[in-house]
Amino acid sequence: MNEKISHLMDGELDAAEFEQCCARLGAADARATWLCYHVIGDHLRGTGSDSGGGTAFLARLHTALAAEPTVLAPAPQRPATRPATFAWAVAATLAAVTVVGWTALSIVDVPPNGIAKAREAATVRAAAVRAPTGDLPNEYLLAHQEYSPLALQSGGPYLRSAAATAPAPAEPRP
Amino acid sequence: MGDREIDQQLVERAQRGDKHAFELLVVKYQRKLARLLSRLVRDPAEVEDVAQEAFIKAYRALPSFRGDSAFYTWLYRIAINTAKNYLVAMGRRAPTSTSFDHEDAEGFDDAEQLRDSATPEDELIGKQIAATVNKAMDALPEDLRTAITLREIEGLSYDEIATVMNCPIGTVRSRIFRAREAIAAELRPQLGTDANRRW
Repeated sequence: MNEKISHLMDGELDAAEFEQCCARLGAADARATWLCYHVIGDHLRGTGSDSGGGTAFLARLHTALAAEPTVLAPAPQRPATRPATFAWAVAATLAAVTVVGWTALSIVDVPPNGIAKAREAATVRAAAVRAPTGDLPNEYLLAHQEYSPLALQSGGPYLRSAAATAPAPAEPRP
Repeated sequence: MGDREIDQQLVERAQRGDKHAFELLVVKYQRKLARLLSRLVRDPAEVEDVAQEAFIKAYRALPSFRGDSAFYTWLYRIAINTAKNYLVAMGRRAPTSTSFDHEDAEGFDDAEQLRDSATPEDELIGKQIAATVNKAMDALPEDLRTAITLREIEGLSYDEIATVMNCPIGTVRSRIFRAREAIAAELRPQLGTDANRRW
């Protein structure tokens, strides 16, 4: 335990060891060691009081402190939380800007090369659709023209084809 | 972890209701504070009264301590104000504020003036302790004496001492502890810190 107290004085304990050591410093012998080591340090540095370790003073103060209500203060907010908060704010701002920008671009502006590609794709699609028609016989197309997409869009099903035959030329009268 | 961080952790423990943690700070700074107060209040008994009042005030004010300054700087201000109020209450002239500004807090060292204020008995005890520490230091092996001198007087960290002494950090830890224990073995009877006493 005394070795831990020595390291505690020098700030060489990690957080868990610090808590353990502080808890055990409630014992009288551990506190006596803490006092003794500090008196040594004070005398080596020349900052000790001429009245020695002050054990009589400490005993009186201990009694006075025992009569005091126990202090319970709220834990102070550490500045370490600030960078995390800032990072979240930046991330939220970036996300909002991205969504708004994406929406605006998709509505308003299509880049010229996009238009060219769209035209090209439309041409290819039209050619692909048109290509088979070349192989179909005209009789077939004529028979089914009312079902063609164009006819369907323009009211084709409601139209009937009528054949018009030219009147036969009049025979010369005898 | 530096001295300030150790104090801060002890303060945080005290703020969570651990009175022992505050007493550890009292033990650490009681002699330094007594030396400071001796400059304002000459009578040794009054110095102890003012010091006790200052520590109690500091304990009550712990919830307001946020760690913006070092604990000792904060305690120093409380002690100076307590001493000034005490002198005013006793009808004596308090020193001007410029005599004890807070820059004094960290580097206060004025042993000559203090010897005038200590009682002959206190002075004798102090001299005996100093003689014991010096004698025990002289009796230490060279490597232990160097290690504790670099730590306590020069204020080097374990890492720095390991570099200076060209040895592993574990050796430094061990040497400093063994040096303290060797001196403490001579000093404990004089301090009256038996296990069955409060201090």
